[in-house]
Amino acid sequence: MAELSDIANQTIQDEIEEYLERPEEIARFVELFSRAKPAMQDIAAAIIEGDDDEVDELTAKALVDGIDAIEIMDDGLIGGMGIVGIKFRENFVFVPEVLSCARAMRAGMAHIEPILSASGIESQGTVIMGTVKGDLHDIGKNLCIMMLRGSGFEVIDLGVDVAEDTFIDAVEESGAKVLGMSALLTTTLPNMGKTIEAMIDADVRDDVLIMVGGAPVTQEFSDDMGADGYGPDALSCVAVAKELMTSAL
Amino acid sequence: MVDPFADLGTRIELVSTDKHFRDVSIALYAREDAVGWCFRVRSFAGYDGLGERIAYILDAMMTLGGMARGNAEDTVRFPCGGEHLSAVRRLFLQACKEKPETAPETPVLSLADKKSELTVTATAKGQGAYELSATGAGAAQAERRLTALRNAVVKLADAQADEAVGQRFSFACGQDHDAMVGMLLQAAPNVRSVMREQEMNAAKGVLAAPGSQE
Amino acid sequence: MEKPQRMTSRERVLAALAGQPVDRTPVCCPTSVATVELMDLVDAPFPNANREAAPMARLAATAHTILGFDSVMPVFSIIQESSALGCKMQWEGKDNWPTVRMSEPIWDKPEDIYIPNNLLDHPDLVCVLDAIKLLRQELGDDVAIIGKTMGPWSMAYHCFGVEKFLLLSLDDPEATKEILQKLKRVTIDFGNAQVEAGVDALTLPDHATGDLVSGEYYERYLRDLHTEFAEKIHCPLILHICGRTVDRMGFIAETGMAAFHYDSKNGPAESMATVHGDIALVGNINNPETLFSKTPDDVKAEVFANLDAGVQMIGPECAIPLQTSIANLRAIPEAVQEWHSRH
Repeated sequence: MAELSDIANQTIQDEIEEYLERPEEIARFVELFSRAKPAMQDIAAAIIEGDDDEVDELTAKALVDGIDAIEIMDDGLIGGMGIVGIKFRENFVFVPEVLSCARAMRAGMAHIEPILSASGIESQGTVIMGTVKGDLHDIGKNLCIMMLRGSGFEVIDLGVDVAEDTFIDAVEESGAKVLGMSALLTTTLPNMGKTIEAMIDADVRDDVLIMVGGAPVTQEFSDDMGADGYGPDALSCVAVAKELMTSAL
Repeated sequence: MVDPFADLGTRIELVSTDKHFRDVSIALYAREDAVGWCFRVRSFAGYDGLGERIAYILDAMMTLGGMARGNAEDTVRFPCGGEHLSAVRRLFLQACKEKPETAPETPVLSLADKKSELTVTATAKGQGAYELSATGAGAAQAERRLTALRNAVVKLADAQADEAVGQRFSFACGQDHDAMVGMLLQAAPNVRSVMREQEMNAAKGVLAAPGSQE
Repeated sequence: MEKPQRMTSRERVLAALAGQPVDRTPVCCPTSVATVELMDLVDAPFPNANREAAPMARLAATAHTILGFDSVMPVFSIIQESSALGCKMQWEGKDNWPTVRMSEPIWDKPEDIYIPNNLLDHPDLVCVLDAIKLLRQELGDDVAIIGKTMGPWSMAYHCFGVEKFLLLSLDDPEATKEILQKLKRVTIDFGNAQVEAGVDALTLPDHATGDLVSGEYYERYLRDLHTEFAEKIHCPLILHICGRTVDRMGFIAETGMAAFHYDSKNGPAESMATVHGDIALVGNINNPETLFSKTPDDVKAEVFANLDAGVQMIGPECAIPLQTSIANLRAIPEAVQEWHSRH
């Protein structure tokens, strides 16, 4: 069984020791990083520190050294963001730090994405994402989109302040099986329910599975609105999208 | 001064901007009186013509849902006196969507189901009971789909599913609601949560009630 | 201390803000209680009610005349100053809030900030000042009028973009402070202009919210600024920050502001314990679930919880959804009356 001391990178060791408490999460990350190549651990550490220049450099070098793009993405970039996500959930870091880490991840993904696109790897499916009408916040949505793309989904980003008709048109035109809506304001939350009702009226509700998220959203609210899934953060967004996509196909 | 909020009852639905009448907000209120449940359509706007607009909505609810005029001004009720909360909210919203230039048509008790490509019909069995059946190619294998649609109508209508027969449901009030069932049947395929639960249960191999087993 | 004889709404609100005894707890709306139904009642729909003094005043008055609150507050949204500064605006229709297009920010760095000398002449600020005067004429001296002046953190979100500004706060704290120092002029000047127009107090929203930034951020970037506002703006201030804020309430209580408007992610008892009497609290009836979706009895339960904890002013936690029912809003002052009749 892997142990913390098997992890070569000291920053990663310290992060796991200091910030992770749930045994299953500790086990998962110890297992991941103890088997990951040292270069991947270094990338993950740079992600956690929000050092976009370092991530950029290390990712480029890893590719030159012949490491597989997917391995870099999974072990380095997504592995590092996984720890960031837990620290955010537990209020050890807040949105500015998460944005900084996301920026670092984008720097790495800039090298990875072209390779993935060119390789013809099968997509996990298409997800439509948007912030509801009246709400112009997109930090959470953008983080989710990055994680979804990193996990192999194609994402149609409708942006912010998205009208009901825009969501409906996107469903009809794209044939996407999963749609994600976000809201940050309590005043705009009702627009999630209105959008779902509009989709029922337009006879497209049956064509798509809907997940919702955002700071004021709760599981109870999601159930009342008639959504199919709810995720409290960007990482769970990917898990929910995967679950919904599986049931849709 | 008369309190405009007195005796209104509980607001159960709201159209916040009526696209057919000057973007006014119009609400549906429910109140129980000696006869049963009574529903009032009310707007706080003060424009000329609002009375006619409300009258149209009330007429549309009567046509679409088989409702009747209530005793009080601007009210309707179900002949059975029942609440039928989910259904009456949907009736109100649908009535507000109808184009005011034309009178709405009484809903028919059949549905052209896109997914199964069958024609699904609801037949009244008396005393508030209904049964769904299908015609078209593949009708013989339609039990699961009919049960899913039945469950959706039950959810939309606050009706009761028949435990033994997967295509049957009934209203607790024991009275027929043909127009309401016809209207809700059209919406049934889109009740996603019901459809998904049914599909998931089917995928897990959950034993359906004896009458529903294929 | 002896309970005072019956007070007017205005006396009650001012006394609560000053930490003085009251005849009963005031019901206050530091943020909007506008709804589509109230708009219809007085023919004052959005967006007109956000841009013209007469409908703005008519709609604001309903908080007292229809809902029974002790205060009225005419600035329903949070974008008047941003509009005056030149942000790209979407004024929207009747049942949607006006918003700033933060994806097209007008500034990129502190040097870009430009505040015209005649900012207070901008129509979207003038209409607020005129609405305040209309309200005072209409309602007389018995009702408290609360204005609103946005804090520099919130204005920076609008002018620079939320993501960019938050990243800047990490990458370049000095530049961040410079931005706040430059924008504070707007907070102070617009605030004092409203005082001259006749407000009794001001809501000061500054969205260093618990969902976005840490309590340490509040201390580092905003506490001293807010202390300066309490000194330089000539009326009681009600700070408004959304989200989980117990970790910064202690700092907020040090600023000298009169009250803190807190939201339902913080329990009344824990919040009162955290500020231990150094600042009054206003709140914290939940919006999206209780006021929007539940019943007057649920509203009453939350009002009682606040009163049991000794919260000094009762109101919704934030601007309410526009579809909120009048019955649920009226349940707030009704519940306050009922609680006091038993205590």
